[in-house]
Amino acid sequence: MDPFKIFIVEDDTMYGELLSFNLSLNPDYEVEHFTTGTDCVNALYKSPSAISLDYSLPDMTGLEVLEKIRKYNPEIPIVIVSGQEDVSTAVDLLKQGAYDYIVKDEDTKDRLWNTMKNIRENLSLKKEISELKEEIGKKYEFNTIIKGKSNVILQSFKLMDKAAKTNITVSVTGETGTGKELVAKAIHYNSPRAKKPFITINVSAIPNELIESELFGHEKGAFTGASARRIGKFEEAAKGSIFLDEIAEMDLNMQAKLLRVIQEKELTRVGGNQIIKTDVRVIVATHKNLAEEVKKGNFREDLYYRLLGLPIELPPLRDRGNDILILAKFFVDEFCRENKMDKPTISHEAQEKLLKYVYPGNVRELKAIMELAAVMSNSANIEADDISFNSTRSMTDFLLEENTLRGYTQKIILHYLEKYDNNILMVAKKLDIGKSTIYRMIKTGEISMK
Amino acid sequence: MEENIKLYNLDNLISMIGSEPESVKEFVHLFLDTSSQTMIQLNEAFEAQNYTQMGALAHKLKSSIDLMGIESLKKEIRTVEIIGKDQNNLQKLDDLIPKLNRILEEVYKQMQAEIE
Repeated sequence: MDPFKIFIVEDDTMYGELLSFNLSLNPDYEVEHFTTGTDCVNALYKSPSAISLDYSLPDMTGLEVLEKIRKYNPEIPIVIVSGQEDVSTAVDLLKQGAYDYIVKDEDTKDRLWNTMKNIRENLSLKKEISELKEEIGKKYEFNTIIKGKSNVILQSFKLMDKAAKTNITVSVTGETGTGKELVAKAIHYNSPRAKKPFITINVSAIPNELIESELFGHEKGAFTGASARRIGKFEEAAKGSIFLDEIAEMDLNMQAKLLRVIQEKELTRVGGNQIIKTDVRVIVATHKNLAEEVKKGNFREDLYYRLLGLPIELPPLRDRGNDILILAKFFVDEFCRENKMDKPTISHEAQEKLLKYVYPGNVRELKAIMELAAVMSNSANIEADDISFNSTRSMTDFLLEENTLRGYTQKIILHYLEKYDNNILMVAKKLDIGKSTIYRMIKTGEISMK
Repeated sequence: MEENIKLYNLDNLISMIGSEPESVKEFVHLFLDTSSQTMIQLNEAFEAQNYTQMGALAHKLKSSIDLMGIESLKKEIRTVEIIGKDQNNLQKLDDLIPKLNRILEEVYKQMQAEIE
């Protein structure tokens, strides 16, 4: 850790030296003593971690020095140490941004010691938070967050990049499991707002009567149970981004209120009168077609146009070709790393099987499939048999997967053979085809019985 | 009478820097140097009737007097500071300033005797 640099600004040489001596007993502190405000201000380039400032100095008042320090760097914590026992002076200085106010008496040493300890702890926490935020930022770099090289996904990267560089409202659409929230996060963490909050709210998960207070907050007593003031998600996301997932589920009344907040850039808490300015980037997502919802009268047209901003449509996984294999390998490797397992390879047959599937649950489903495959695999190879699809929408998927008529016929026959324990006569009867057709297909290798 | 009583108390100083004799000695020397310098300036300001400057110097001396436990001057140095700031009761200074000089000189003597 860097040394904790403390400036002691105290015109009484004796007292200043004493404070320096005392604080220097902590080997992590690097203390420097100045007897005038000017000397302190001139040394600010040394980036002190904290400053102990005497209120009465020969060349300027403590308030003047405080203002100069704050102008240079408002982040430096300043502790006023003063012989003035005047409460209003203390209050004024604290209002001007002083971190603490300590009166010179027999407890000064202990109070200053504790205050510096607190400042140091706060600084290290702030540093830790800032490092974590940077880590999160790295985690959400576009090509880290969304794997793939297909044209459709590269096109999405371009749009995400454009969105990140501006403040434009972004609407992300895509089937369930395509990664809409990840895209929203990636846009936020790659934008100038990255160090401010990213707040997510799933509109469909909150009852209609609660959503206004959730989004805009409420005052104490606004409704039964509002026992204290609570700030809403829009205020929480100040200078950051708010992600409204499943926006199509918002009721019409609430849509009007949201439109007003987005248009006016100000809100009023439920039960309150105070107008609060907002500075929030809005990112919305839905798996529904919002234009269709507008046509049906379920979504306000004005809000639709306000939210549309930059539309990013995430392609379903089945349209992403070889991205399926890139993602499959990524998920297996991640899972094995987290579970301290050896990373297996994916056999050619397993890859073929993966490429043929339609993934109604998209990337989320693929992730689950690959994690299960990693667990089921008994060797260094994931085989086709280790991969099992458990989709709840198999019929729709069957039709979604483009195939030739011959291909569909083979699939149907295979399905029936499995269902009726390879009883060819039964299958022929059920499908109303000749048993010789099935025998011929088996003979030519078009289908192979398990 | 003042000659017979110890006019200062280093407990407060020791609580801040520890009882290591060399450190205590170092700070007593520092007090002797800096406070005598401040006292010279304070006397000059008083003579020149620059009461604002005199008050500021009294403020500066106040914390050192507290630190060295010079009880007989704690109230007096504050009074000088207030008079300098408010410029009221200036006549009181005729007693206060000589008292400050007298007691501090005695303190210096006692301190020098102790550290030597």
